[in-house]
Amino acid sequence: MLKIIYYSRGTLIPALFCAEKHCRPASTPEQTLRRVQQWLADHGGDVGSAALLPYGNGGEGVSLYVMTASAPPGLVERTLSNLFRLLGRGDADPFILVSSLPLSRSGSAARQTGLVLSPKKLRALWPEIEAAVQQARLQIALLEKLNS
Amino acid sequence: MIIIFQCYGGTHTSIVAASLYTGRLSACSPPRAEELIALPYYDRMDGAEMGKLHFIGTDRRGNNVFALGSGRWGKEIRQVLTSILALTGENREPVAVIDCLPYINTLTRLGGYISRRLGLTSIGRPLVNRGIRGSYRSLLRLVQSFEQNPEPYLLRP
Repeated sequence: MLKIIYYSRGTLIPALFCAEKHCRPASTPEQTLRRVQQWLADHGGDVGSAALLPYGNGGEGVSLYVMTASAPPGLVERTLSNLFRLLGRGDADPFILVSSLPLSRSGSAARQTGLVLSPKKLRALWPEIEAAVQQARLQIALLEKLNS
Repeated sequence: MIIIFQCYGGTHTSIVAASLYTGRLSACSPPRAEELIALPYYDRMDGAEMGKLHFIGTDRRGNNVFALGSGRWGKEIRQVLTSILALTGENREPVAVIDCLPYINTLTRLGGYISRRLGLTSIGRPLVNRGIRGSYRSLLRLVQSFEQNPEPYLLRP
């Protein structure tokens, strides 16, 4: 099964928005916000350190994960893509890492102020979230094309 | 097994440790400046190369050996890799990461900054070389410790 990992730096929240938008493409920002708030309540809130958590089924044989760490997304992407290439030989379960980068401030600052979870902030981030999900979908389509 | 030597920029300490491990550098005495400069990737990478796994060679058992620069996020990168490996199943190739960051001394740090960040290679490189020669014994001990027992260095989900 193909695994999509949405990565965001310092906080899981942007990655959660992307994963939720991926699961329910027709959701509005407000609906997405409510579901993410519910997910956070169910999972004991945002995590501060490095974490990789399953989010759910993205449909069409895709598993969704959310991941956070304090490392810059570019560094994580390069490291993982290099390692995947080494590990991926003959691997039946490929990965796609998509970094959601809507935060201009550090995750801890965002968590402290609570700005990220406000509807106003989410609406401002919405185009980036849609773009990240679209990027993931394009990569899935490309992978399927390559495998067919 | 995939063996990764990790440091800040992936261009000095990790390169030297990986070269020691693969037998490209002698364990008997610290290398001369010319030997260091002749190493692939040594004092040649910049920030854009961070996160890329650079192939250094193979060890006696045929394992592939790489150098990796992770900036100041070495620990976080190891955590991320460990989390990801949990998704790959048990049949995958084992991955060992050897953290060389604690073996970077002030001279290497300063010389590396001058050479790589400021681009003043003629000033920075001799400092790096002296720094590396100064920490060579510690790096050798690290490499020997990994050779004797790789278990603590394996990424275990």
